[in-house]
Amino acid sequence: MNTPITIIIADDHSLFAEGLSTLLKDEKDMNVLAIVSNGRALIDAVRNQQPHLVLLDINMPLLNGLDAMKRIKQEYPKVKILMLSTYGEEHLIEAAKSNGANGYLLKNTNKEELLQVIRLIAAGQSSFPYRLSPVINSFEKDDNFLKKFNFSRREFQLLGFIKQGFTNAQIAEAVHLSIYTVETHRKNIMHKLNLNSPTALMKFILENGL
Amino acid sequence: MKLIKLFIQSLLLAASFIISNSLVQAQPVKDTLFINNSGEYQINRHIFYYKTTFNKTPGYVFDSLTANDFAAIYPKKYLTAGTTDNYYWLLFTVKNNLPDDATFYFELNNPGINIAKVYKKSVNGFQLVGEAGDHLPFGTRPLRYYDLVFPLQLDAGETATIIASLDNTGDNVDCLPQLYDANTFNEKAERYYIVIGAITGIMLTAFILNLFLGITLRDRLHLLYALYVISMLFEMYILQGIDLQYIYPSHPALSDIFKYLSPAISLTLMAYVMQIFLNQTRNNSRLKIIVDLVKYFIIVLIPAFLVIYFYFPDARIIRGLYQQVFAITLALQLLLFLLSALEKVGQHYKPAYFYLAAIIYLWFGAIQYVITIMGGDTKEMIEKQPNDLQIGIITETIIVFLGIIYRYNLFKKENQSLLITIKNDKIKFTEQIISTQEAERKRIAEDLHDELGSNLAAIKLSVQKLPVDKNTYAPIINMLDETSTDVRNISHNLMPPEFSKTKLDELLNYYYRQLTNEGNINFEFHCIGYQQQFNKNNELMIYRIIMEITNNIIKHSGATESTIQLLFNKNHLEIIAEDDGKGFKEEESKGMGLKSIRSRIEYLDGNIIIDSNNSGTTIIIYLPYKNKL
Repeated sequence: MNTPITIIIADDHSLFAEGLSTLLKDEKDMNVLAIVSNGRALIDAVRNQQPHLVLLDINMPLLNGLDAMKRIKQEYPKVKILMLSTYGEEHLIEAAKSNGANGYLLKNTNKEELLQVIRLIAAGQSSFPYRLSPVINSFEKDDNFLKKFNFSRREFQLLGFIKQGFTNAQIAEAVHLSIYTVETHRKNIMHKLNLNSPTALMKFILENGL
Repeated sequence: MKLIKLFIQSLLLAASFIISNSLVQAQPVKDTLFINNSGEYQINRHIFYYKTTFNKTPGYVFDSLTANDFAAIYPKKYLTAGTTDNYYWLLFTVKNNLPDDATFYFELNNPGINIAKVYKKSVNGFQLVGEAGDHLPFGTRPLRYYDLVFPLQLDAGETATIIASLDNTGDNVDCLPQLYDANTFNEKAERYYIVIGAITGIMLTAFILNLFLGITLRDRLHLLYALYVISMLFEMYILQGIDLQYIYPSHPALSDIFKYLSPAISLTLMAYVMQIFLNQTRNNSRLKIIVDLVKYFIIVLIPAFLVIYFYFPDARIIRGLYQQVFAITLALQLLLFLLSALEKVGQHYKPAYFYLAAIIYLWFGAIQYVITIMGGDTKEMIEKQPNDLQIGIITETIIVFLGIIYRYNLFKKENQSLLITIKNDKIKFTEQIISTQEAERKRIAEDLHDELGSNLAAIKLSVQKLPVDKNTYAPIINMLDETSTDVRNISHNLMPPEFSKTKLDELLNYYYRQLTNEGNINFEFHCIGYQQQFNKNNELMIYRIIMEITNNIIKHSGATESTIQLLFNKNHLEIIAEDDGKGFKEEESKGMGLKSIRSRIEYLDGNIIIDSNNSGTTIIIYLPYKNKL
């Protein structure tokens, strides 16, 4: 770590940008070159100062973070970009990734994590938040089956009754639903399986050994 | 000398001729119609007329007049004198050359004549064949027929001279004398009854239909038109002489009065019908005031006539004058109707075309009628059966009827398009309110998220920089993190970030996974067939519905498991939200939540079914794609 990591902070929230800047100044291996508050100013600053890394907010006036990043990456592909955003939505992270970001962090991150990610990215690695784990199903053994046909738990439950030859009225009583609701579920099961007769549904149940 | 001799000879000859003639037959005009076959006979070639200001006896006409006093009708077929105060006499001689005795029918073709008397002079003597007319009881007619018809009994080889006196003083005198054998007359009568029956049927249908429409639609025009049709039918009966005399055969005065009143009533009703049908008002028509004036004048004519009739029964001249004044008014009023229709056509008022078509023929007929009344000569008026006035009345009635139906449909269409416009305006207005509200929410959500979120992050950074032990500020950091999460959730609920650019299924997928991770309820989310079938504004509406339902589940249901499904079918979206909570009863659930769900669903033309009991709740929402794309 002979040469410090040169950094430009791009954020239109001056309070946050200043806070960030003072935090980084304490680190000997980091050097904040400039703070800019919009995308255009950022492009100019990158052009003039050629930083190692940009800490970039998404929502900014004149030119937003994502668009500014696209242009920086075109002109200076070597400049690393770490997105710092208040938004944690997956599609925004995906958008940042596809526009060339090297990392993505939520603004309310810890100091340690922030510093670690900056160093990681400066060293040429990337860092993105983990994807949220998929919903845990209570029917774990039938997970694949459920997923394959997009059945809900309820629909899977009804399939069991249908297999036993229950009528809609009987099912309704057994699961404490109205007949209309059972009918709707049954209709949707058929729709999801692309079937159009009760016989075809029975055949499907037997063939799949439910 | 030779000249004098010749003169005397011729005088003698003439004298002997006159003497022999008067002795044998007393025939003022020597001309005989020979009946050699069946059919209609050309009586017009053999009939003569005589007019006089005083009523004479038949004997006088028969014996005291010479050929010079009579005029031939030929080459015309009819006699016309207009409204007059004179008496007319007709004269013809006929010989039955057929091998058998037979009855022949002498018809005058004017049922309106006040009194017509027919006498026959033959070798057997001088006798009254019959009398008939408007002023005489119907029951006394020699033949109970609408027209004045006199059966003439002629033995085989008999020669008879017929004279007929026509008294129609104070009224329009015209007649078309015809003579036929019994078969020909019967055939003609039958044809006539069929035509009258058909016309009556058409007019009565129009009457009943419009009466019905008038009552059900509460449209004044239909009721007025129904009245008008009936008055026109009555007028037509009067023109044909088949009116009150059939109902009150012993009160001829009634049909005499209505002969004068009926056209005035019809014309008044016609004026009202025209003005409503064409929507003629002072504002849109300069003719309105003139039509009104003439209309009121005609209304005044009605009592005026009654005064004349009852107080001056002998003033035939006044009655004649009344007829002429009325005829001119009629012509003027019909001309005004025609101009009114033209004016409206000029204003591109579509029903006016119907009225124009209806009135033109009627006008043509009415002008002939007026000319006849004024003593003019209109062949069609008398010879044609039915004449142009009668055809005009019927065509006018029918065309105006069609026009009324057209007008009704036109109004209905206009009303519908107006309703659609109002509905569209309402939708636009609602959309405007919604989009303003959503824009406001978006702004607040972004401000909250960006400003407050960034500030909280800045505070967190600053706290971490404090020169104290990490454990000292750890609780503050926790509080800051929780506050950040709250801010993010509040903002997210107000408006998900980048909503307009994000696919609904991805957004919800992320949302439910996050809810499952953060909360106590295990959410399962399915979305099938999503292709952005709704526009973004409606999608936002759907998103709000789903959020509201989800909030209810989180806050009130006490559930541990919940399944949310969005099934995009061919023509509709079905949203199914299930939970295993404690359920709720709609009437017990307070607050705006369900209300706002329902109003949003209503806006999207959808419906909702809630199936809730103490082992869980299932909500099924149906939202059609159409109209909202």
